[in-house]
Amino acid sequence: MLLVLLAGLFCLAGCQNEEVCEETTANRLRMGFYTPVVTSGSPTPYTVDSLTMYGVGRPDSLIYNNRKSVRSVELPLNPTTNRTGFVLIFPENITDTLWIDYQTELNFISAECGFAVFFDIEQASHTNNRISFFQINQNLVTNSLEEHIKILLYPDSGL
Amino acid sequence: MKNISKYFFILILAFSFTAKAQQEADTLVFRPSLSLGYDVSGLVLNLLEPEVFMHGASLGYEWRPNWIAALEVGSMNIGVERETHNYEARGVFLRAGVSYNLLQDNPRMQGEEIFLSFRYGFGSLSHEAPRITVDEPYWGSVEGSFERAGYSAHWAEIGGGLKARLFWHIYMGWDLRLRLMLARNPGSEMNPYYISGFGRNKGNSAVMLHYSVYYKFPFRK
Repeated sequence: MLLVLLAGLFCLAGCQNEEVCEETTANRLRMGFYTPVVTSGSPTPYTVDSLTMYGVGRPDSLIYNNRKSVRSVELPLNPTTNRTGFVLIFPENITDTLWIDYQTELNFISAECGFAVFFDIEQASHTNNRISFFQINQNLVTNSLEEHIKILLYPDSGL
Repeated sequence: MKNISKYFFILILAFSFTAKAQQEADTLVFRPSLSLGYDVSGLVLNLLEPEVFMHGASLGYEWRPNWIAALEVGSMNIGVERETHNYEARGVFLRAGVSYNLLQDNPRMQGEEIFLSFRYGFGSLSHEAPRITVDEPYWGSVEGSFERAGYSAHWAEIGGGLKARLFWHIYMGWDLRLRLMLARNPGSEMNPYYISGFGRNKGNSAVMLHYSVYYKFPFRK
Protein backbone atom coordinates (compact mmCIF):
# COMPACT_ATOMS: atom_id res chain seq x y z
CA MET A 1 0.00 0.00 0.00
CA LEU A 2 2.88 2.32 0.85
CA LEU A 3 4.51 1.68 -2.52
CA VAL A 4 1.30 2.39 -4.39
CA LEU A 5 0.86 5.58 -2.43
CA LEU A 6 4.40 6.71 -3.08
CA ALA A 7 4.02 5.97 -6.77
CA GLY A 8 0.81 7.92 -6.81
CA LEU A 9 2.49 10.83 -5.09
CA PHE A 10 5.31 10.89 -7.59
CA CYS A 11 2.87 10.77 -10.47
CA LEU A 12 0.71 13.58 -9.19
CA ALA A 13 3.62 15.77 -8.30
CA GLY A 14 5.16 14.83 -11.63
CA CYS A 15 2.06 15.89 -13.49
CA GLN A 16 2.66 19.38 -12.21
CA ASN A 17 6.27 19.47 -13.32
CA GLU A 18 7.38 20.34 -16.83
CA GLU A 19 11.05 19.89 -17.52
CA VAL A 20 11.09 21.65 -20.87
CA CYS A 21 9.57 24.97 -21.80
CA GLU A 22 6.81 24.05 -24.23
CA GLU A 23 5.36 27.50 -24.69
CA THR A 24 6.82 30.14 -26.91
CA THR A 25 7.97 33.32 -25.24
CA ALA A 26 7.94 35.31 -28.48
CA ASN A 27 4.35 36.17 -29.28
CA ARG A 28 3.66 37.05 -32.88
CA LEU A 29 1.19 39.48 -34.37
CA ARG A 30 -1.09 37.55 -36.73
CA MET A 31 -2.54 39.39 -39.72
CA GLY A 32 -4.73 38.12 -42.52
CA PHE A 33 -5.37 39.63 -45.97
CA TYR A 34 -8.89 40.34 -47.21
CA THR A 35 -10.78 42.19 -49.92
CA PRO A 36 -13.43 44.71 -48.92
CA VAL A 37 -16.09 42.49 -50.54
CA VAL A 38 -18.34 41.37 -47.73
CA THR A 39 -19.75 37.84 -47.69
CA SER A 40 -22.09 36.92 -44.81
CA GLY A 41 -21.00 39.88 -42.72
CA SER A 42 -17.23 39.45 -43.01
CA PRO A 43 -14.64 40.57 -45.53
CA THR A 44 -13.55 37.91 -48.00
CA PRO A 45 -10.18 36.24 -47.41
CA TYR A 46 -7.65 37.08 -50.09
CA THR A 47 -4.44 35.44 -51.16
CA VAL A 48 -1.61 37.76 -52.19
CA ASP A 49 0.34 36.38 -55.18
CA SER A 50 3.72 37.37 -53.83
CA LEU A 51 4.85 39.27 -50.74
CA THR A 52 8.09 40.56 -49.30
CA MET A 53 8.12 42.05 -45.81
CA TYR A 54 10.65 43.54 -43.46
CA GLY A 55 10.66 45.72 -40.36
CA VAL A 56 11.14 49.44 -40.87
CA GLY A 57 14.87 50.13 -40.67
CA ARG A 58 15.77 46.47 -41.27
CA PRO A 59 15.69 45.96 -45.08
CA ASP A 60 18.64 43.60 -44.67
CA SER A 61 16.56 41.22 -42.59
CA LEU A 62 13.51 40.02 -44.50
CA ILE A 63 10.62 38.54 -42.58
CA TYR A 64 9.07 37.28 -45.82
CA ASN A 65 11.23 36.99 -48.94
CA ASN A 66 9.09 36.97 -52.08
CA ARG A 67 6.77 34.40 -50.55
CA LYS A 68 4.11 33.13 -52.95
CA SER A 69 0.39 32.78 -52.24
CA VAL A 70 0.28 34.49 -48.89
CA ARG A 71 -3.01 34.36 -47.02
CA SER A 72 -1.77 35.49 -43.62
CA VAL A 73 1.44 36.57 -41.90
CA GLU A 74 3.05 36.29 -38.46
CA LEU A 75 5.07 39.31 -37.48
CA PRO A 76 7.44 40.12 -34.62
CA LEU A 77 6.53 43.24 -32.66
CA ASN A 78 9.39 45.15 -31.09
CA PRO A 79 9.17 44.64 -27.31
CA THR A 80 11.62 47.45 -26.54
CA THR A 81 9.39 50.21 -27.93
CA ASN A 82 5.67 51.02 -28.26
CA ARG A 83 5.58 51.19 -32.06
CA THR A 84 6.64 48.85 -34.81
CA GLY A 85 6.60 49.53 -38.54
CA PHE A 86 6.56 46.99 -41.36
CA VAL A 87 7.22 47.47 -45.06
CA LEU A 88 5.04 45.34 -47.35
CA ILE A 89 6.03 44.85 -50.98
CA PHE A 90 3.12 43.52 -53.06
CA PRO A 91 3.14 42.29 -56.69
CA GLU A 92 4.41 44.78 -59.26
CA ASN A 93 6.48 46.41 -56.52
CA ILE A 94 3.57 48.27 -54.94
CA THR A 95 4.81 49.14 -51.45
CA ASP A 96 3.03 50.10 -48.26
CA THR A 97 4.18 50.84 -44.75
CA LEU A 98 2.13 49.70 -41.77
CA TRP A 99 2.59 51.05 -38.24
CA ILE A 100 1.26 49.36 -35.09
CA ASP A 101 1.02 51.16 -31.73
CA TYR A 102 0.74 49.10 -28.56
CA GLN A 103 1.50 48.69 -24.87
CA THR A 104 3.80 45.90 -23.72
CA GLU A 105 3.32 43.67 -20.69
CA LEU A 106 5.67 41.14 -19.12
CA ASN A 107 3.96 37.92 -18.11
CA PHE A 108 5.33 35.09 -16.02
CA ILE A 109 4.73 31.85 -17.89
CA SER A 110 6.49 29.25 -15.75
CA ALA A 111 9.80 28.59 -13.99
CA GLU A 112 11.16 26.84 -17.10
CA CYS A 113 9.95 29.31 -19.72
CA GLY A 114 10.34 32.43 -17.68
CA PHE A 115 8.61 35.48 -18.99
CA ALA A 116 6.94 36.41 -22.25
CA VAL A 117 5.87 39.76 -23.62
CA PHE A 118 2.19 40.33 -24.28
CA PHE A 119 1.19 43.22 -26.54
CA ASP A 120 -1.97 45.28 -26.26
CA ILE A 121 -2.65 46.88 -29.66
CA GLU A 122 -3.98 50.39 -29.44
CA GLN A 123 -3.86 51.77 -32.96
CA ALA A 124 -2.59 51.11 -36.46
CA SER A 125 -1.86 53.37 -39.41
CA HIS A 126 -0.69 52.75 -42.96
CA THR A 127 -0.03 54.16 -46.40
CA ASN A 128 -2.72 53.65 -49.02
CA ASN A 129 -1.06 52.19 -52.07
CA ARG A 130 -2.52 48.71 -51.74
CA ILE A 131 -3.84 48.67 -48.21
CA SER A 132 -7.35 50.08 -48.11
CA PHE A 133 -8.27 49.60 -44.49
CA PHE A 134 -7.60 47.53 -41.39
CA GLN A 135 -9.76 45.94 -38.70
CA ILE A 136 -8.51 45.05 -35.23
CA ASN A 137 -10.05 41.69 -34.42
CA GLN A 138 -8.19 41.01 -31.21
CA ASN A 139 -6.17 43.60 -29.28
CA LEU A 140 -4.18 41.25 -27.13
CA VAL A 141 -1.20 39.50 -28.67
CA THR A 142 -0.50 36.48 -26.48
CA ASN A 143 0.37 32.86 -27.12
CA SER A 144 -3.04 32.14 -28.61
CA LEU A 145 -3.34 31.56 -32.35
CA GLU A 146 -6.10 34.06 -33.03
CA GLU A 147 -5.90 36.52 -35.88
CA HIS A 148 -5.34 40.01 -34.49
CA ILE A 149 -5.64 42.31 -37.49
CA LYS A 150 -7.47 42.05 -40.81
CA ILE A 151 -5.80 43.96 -43.64
CA LEU A 152 -8.20 44.93 -46.40
CA LEU A 153 -6.57 45.46 -49.78
CA TYR A 154 -7.56 47.33 -52.91
CA PRO A 155 -8.16 44.82 -55.68
CA ASP A 156 -5.24 43.82 -57.89
CA SER A 157 -4.85 45.99 -61.00
CA GLY A 158 -5.45 42.83 -62.99
CA LEU A 159 -8.98 42.30 -61.56
CA MET B 1 -33.42 -0.35 63.66
CA LYS B 2 -33.37 -3.55 61.76
CA ASN B 3 -35.46 -1.98 59.00
CA ILE B 4 -33.09 0.92 58.65
CA SER B 5 -30.05 -1.27 58.31
CA LYS B 6 -31.93 -3.41 55.79
CA TYR B 7 -32.79 -0.37 53.74
CA PHE B 8 -29.24 0.84 54.16
CA PHE B 9 -27.94 -2.42 52.85
CA ILE B 10 -30.25 -2.30 49.85
CA LEU B 11 -29.18 1.29 49.20
CA ILE B 12 -25.51 0.37 49.29
CA LEU B 13 -26.13 -2.54 46.97
CA ALA B 14 -28.07 -0.25 44.63
CA PHE B 15 -25.22 2.29 44.65
CA SER B 16 -22.63 -0.36 43.96
CA PHE B 17 -24.68 -1.64 41.04
CA THR B 18 -25.03 1.78 39.49
CA ALA B 19 -21.34 2.45 40.12
CA LYS B 20 -20.42 -0.70 38.25
CA ALA B 21 -22.75 0.18 35.39
CA GLN B 22 -21.19 3.65 35.31
CA GLN B 23 -17.73 2.16 35.06
CA GLU B 24 -18.71 -0.05 32.11
CA ALA B 25 -20.27 2.93 30.34
CA ASP B 26 -17.09 4.93 30.98
CA THR B 27 -14.88 2.63 28.92
CA LEU B 28 -17.11 3.15 25.87
CA VAL B 29 -17.54 6.89 26.36
CA PHE B 30 -15.97 9.05 23.67
CA ARG B 31 -12.86 11.00 24.58
CA PRO B 32 -11.59 13.89 22.48
CA SER B 33 -8.20 13.41 20.89
CA LEU B 34 -5.54 15.67 19.48
CA SER B 35 -3.15 14.81 16.68
CA LEU B 36 -0.20 16.70 15.30
CA GLY B 37 0.97 16.01 11.77
CA TYR B 38 3.77 16.92 9.41
CA ASP B 39 3.15 17.07 5.68
CA VAL B 40 5.77 15.12 3.78
CA SER B 41 4.47 15.95 0.30
CA GLY B 42 6.55 19.14 0.29
CA LEU B 43 9.71 17.06 0.50
CA VAL B 44 8.56 14.85 -2.37
CA LEU B 45 7.75 17.88 -4.51
CA ASN B 46 11.21 19.22 -3.79
CA LEU B 47 12.73 16.07 -5.27
CA LEU B 48 10.93 16.79 -8.53
CA GLU B 49 11.21 20.57 -8.41
CA PRO B 50 14.39 21.38 -6.51
CA GLU B 51 13.72 25.09 -6.59
CA VAL B 52 10.48 24.80 -4.66
CA PHE B 53 10.40 24.20 -0.89
CA MET B 54 7.17 23.62 0.95
CA HIS B 55 6.49 22.77 4.56
CA GLY B 56 3.22 22.04 6.26
CA ALA B 57 2.01 21.01 9.69
CA SER B 58 -1.45 20.14 10.88
CA LEU B 59 -3.37 19.98 14.10
CA GLY B 60 -6.51 17.90 14.41
CA TYR B 61 -8.88 17.90 17.33
CA GLU B 62 -11.63 15.32 17.43
CA TRP B 63 -14.12 17.11 19.61
CA ARG B 64 -17.04 14.76 19.04
CA PRO B 65 -17.13 11.27 17.61
CA ASN B 66 -15.87 11.27 14.01
CA TRP B 67 -15.72 15.04 13.69
CA ILE B 68 -12.29 16.55 13.62
CA ALA B 69 -11.60 20.27 13.72
CA ALA B 70 -8.45 20.86 11.69
CA LEU B 71 -5.88 23.57 11.31
CA GLU B 72 -3.02 23.48 8.80
CA VAL B 73 -0.17 25.95 8.53
CA GLY B 74 2.93 26.07 6.43
CA SER B 75 5.39 27.97 4.34
CA MET B 76 6.78 28.05 0.83
CA ASN B 77 10.10 29.16 -0.57
CA ILE B 78 10.98 29.37 -4.24
CA GLY B 79 14.23 30.38 -5.87
CA VAL B 80 14.48 30.04 -9.65
CA GLU B 81 17.68 31.03 -11.42
CA ARG B 82 17.92 30.66 -15.17
CA GLU B 83 19.73 32.31 -18.01
CA THR B 84 16.62 34.19 -18.96
CA HIS B 85 15.27 35.10 -15.54
CA ASN B 86 15.42 35.05 -11.76
CA TYR B 87 12.27 34.49 -9.74
CA GLU B 88 12.02 34.44 -5.95
CA ALA B 89 9.02 33.91 -3.77
CA ARG B 90 8.28 33.18 -0.14
CA GLY B 91 4.90 32.71 1.44
CA VAL B 92 2.82 31.27 4.23
CA PHE B 93 -0.60 29.72 4.41
CA LEU B 94 -3.34 28.82 6.82
CA ARG B 95 -6.09 26.29 6.23
CA ALA B 96 -8.92 25.58 8.63
CA GLY B 97 -11.92 23.33 8.51
CA VAL B 98 -13.36 20.00 9.50
CA SER B 99 -12.81 16.42 8.58
CA TYR B 100 -15.41 13.75 8.92
CA ASN B 101 -14.44 10.17 9.66
CA LEU B 102 -16.51 7.63 7.79
CA LEU B 103 -15.34 4.68 9.92
CA GLN B 104 -18.00 4.82 12.59
CA ASP B 105 -18.65 1.27 13.64
CA ASN B 106 -15.91 0.45 16.05
CA PRO B 107 -14.82 3.18 18.45
CA ARG B 108 -11.84 1.04 19.27
CA MET B 109 -10.45 1.17 15.72
CA GLN B 110 -7.39 2.77 17.23
CA GLY B 111 -7.99 6.10 15.56
CA GLU B 112 -7.86 4.77 12.02
CA GLU B 113 -9.86 6.85 9.61
CA ILE B 114 -11.31 7.09 6.19
CA PHE B 115 -12.26 10.70 6.03
CA LEU B 116 -13.69 13.54 4.00
CA SER B 117 -12.07 16.90 4.49
CA PHE B 118 -13.43 20.40 4.02
CA ARG B 119 -11.24 23.44 4.36
CA TYR B 120 -11.06 27.13 3.85
CA GLY B 121 -7.56 28.22 2.86
CA PHE B 122 -5.70 31.49 2.83
CA GLY B 123 -2.25 32.07 1.37
CA SER B 124 -0.05 35.12 1.35
CA LEU B 125 3.27 35.54 -0.40
CA SER B 126 5.76 38.08 -1.61
CA HIS B 127 7.68 37.63 -4.83
CA GLU B 128 10.01 39.39 -7.20
CA ALA B 129 11.79 38.89 -10.50
CA PRO B 130 14.89 41.04 -10.27
CA ARG B 131 16.20 40.05 -13.68
CA ILE B 132 14.21 39.22 -16.79
CA THR B 133 15.44 38.86 -20.34
CA VAL B 134 13.00 38.10 -23.12
CA ASP B 135 14.58 37.09 -26.38
CA GLU B 136 13.19 38.63 -29.53
CA PRO B 137 15.24 37.21 -32.41
CA TYR B 138 14.26 39.93 -34.92
CA TRP B 139 14.34 43.14 -32.93
CA GLY B 140 16.55 42.24 -30.00
CA SER B 141 16.07 41.19 -26.39
CA VAL B 142 14.16 43.19 -23.86
CA GLU B 143 15.28 43.49 -20.27
CA GLY B 144 12.90 43.96 -17.40
CA SER B 145 12.22 43.23 -13.78
CA PHE B 146 9.39 43.07 -11.29
CA GLU B 147 9.96 44.66 -7.91
CA ARG B 148 9.11 42.74 -4.77
CA ALA B 149 5.37 42.79 -4.27
CA GLY B 150 2.81 40.89 -2.28
CA TYR B 151 0.03 38.59 -3.39
CA SER B 152 -2.69 36.85 -1.46
CA ALA B 153 -5.56 34.55 -2.25
CA HIS B 154 -8.22 32.48 -0.56
CA TRP B 155 -9.96 29.33 -1.64
CA ALA B 156 -12.20 26.44 -0.68
CA GLU B 157 -11.08 22.82 -0.46
CA ILE B 158 -12.72 19.45 -0.53
CA GLY B 159 -10.95 16.16 -0.25
CA GLY B 160 -10.68 12.73 1.20
CA GLY B 161 -8.14 10.30 2.47
CA LEU B 162 -6.97 7.59 4.77
CA LYS B 163 -5.19 7.51 8.08
CA ALA B 164 -3.71 4.33 9.46
CA ARG B 165 -1.82 3.42 12.60
CA LEU B 166 1.86 2.59 12.16
CA PHE B 167 2.85 1.72 15.70
CA TRP B 168 2.53 3.20 19.19
CA HIS B 169 0.94 6.67 18.76
CA ILE B 170 2.30 7.22 15.26
CA TYR B 171 -0.04 7.33 12.30
CA MET B 172 0.39 7.92 8.59
CA GLY B 173 -2.09 9.01 6.02
CA TRP B 174 -2.76 10.69 2.74
CA ASP B 175 -5.27 13.36 1.80
CA LEU B 176 -6.20 14.20 -1.76
CA ARG B 177 -7.47 17.75 -2.07
CA LEU B 178 -9.30 19.67 -4.76
CA ARG B 179 -8.92 23.41 -4.37
CA LEU B 180 -11.14 26.05 -5.93
CA MET B 181 -10.02 29.66 -5.95
CA LEU B 182 -12.39 32.15 -4.38
CA ALA B 183 -10.54 35.44 -4.78
CA ARG B 184 -7.11 36.84 -5.41
CA ASN B 185 -5.50 40.02 -4.23
CA PRO B 186 -2.50 40.82 -6.44
CA GLY B 187 0.04 43.40 -5.37
CA SER B 188 1.57 43.75 -8.84
CA GLU B 189 1.13 42.59 -12.43
CA MET B 190 3.26 39.50 -11.95
CA ASN B 191 1.48 36.18 -11.55
CA PRO B 192 3.03 33.95 -8.91
CA TYR B 193 4.45 30.56 -9.84
CA TYR B 194 2.97 28.74 -6.85
CA ILE B 195 0.49 30.14 -4.34
CA SER B 196 1.46 29.07 -0.81
CA GLY B 197 -1.03 26.50 0.45
CA PHE B 198 -2.91 26.33 -2.84
CA GLY B 199 -0.45 24.78 -5.24
CA ARG B 200 0.64 25.57 -8.76
CA ASN B 201 -0.89 28.78 -10.03
CA LYS B 202 -2.49 27.47 -13.20
CA GLY B 203 -6.09 28.49 -13.50
CA ASN B 204 -8.58 28.65 -10.71
CA SER B 205 -8.29 25.12 -9.42
CA ALA B 206 -5.57 22.85 -8.14
CA VAL B 207 -5.26 19.24 -7.08
CA MET B 208 -2.68 18.14 -4.55
CA LEU B 209 -1.93 14.90 -2.79
CA HIS B 210 -0.73 15.38 0.79
CA TYR B 211 1.03 12.70 2.75
CA SER B 212 1.50 13.16 6.49
CA VAL B 213 2.95 11.54 9.56
CA TYR B 214 0.95 12.13 12.73
CA TYR B 215 1.44 11.82 16.44
CA LYS B 216 -1.77 11.21 18.35
CA PHE B 217 -1.68 12.49 21.89
CA PRO B 218 -2.85 9.76 24.29
CA PHE B 219 -6.05 10.85 26.00
CA ARG B 220 -6.29 11.09 29.73
CA LYS B 221 -8.02 8.24 31.54
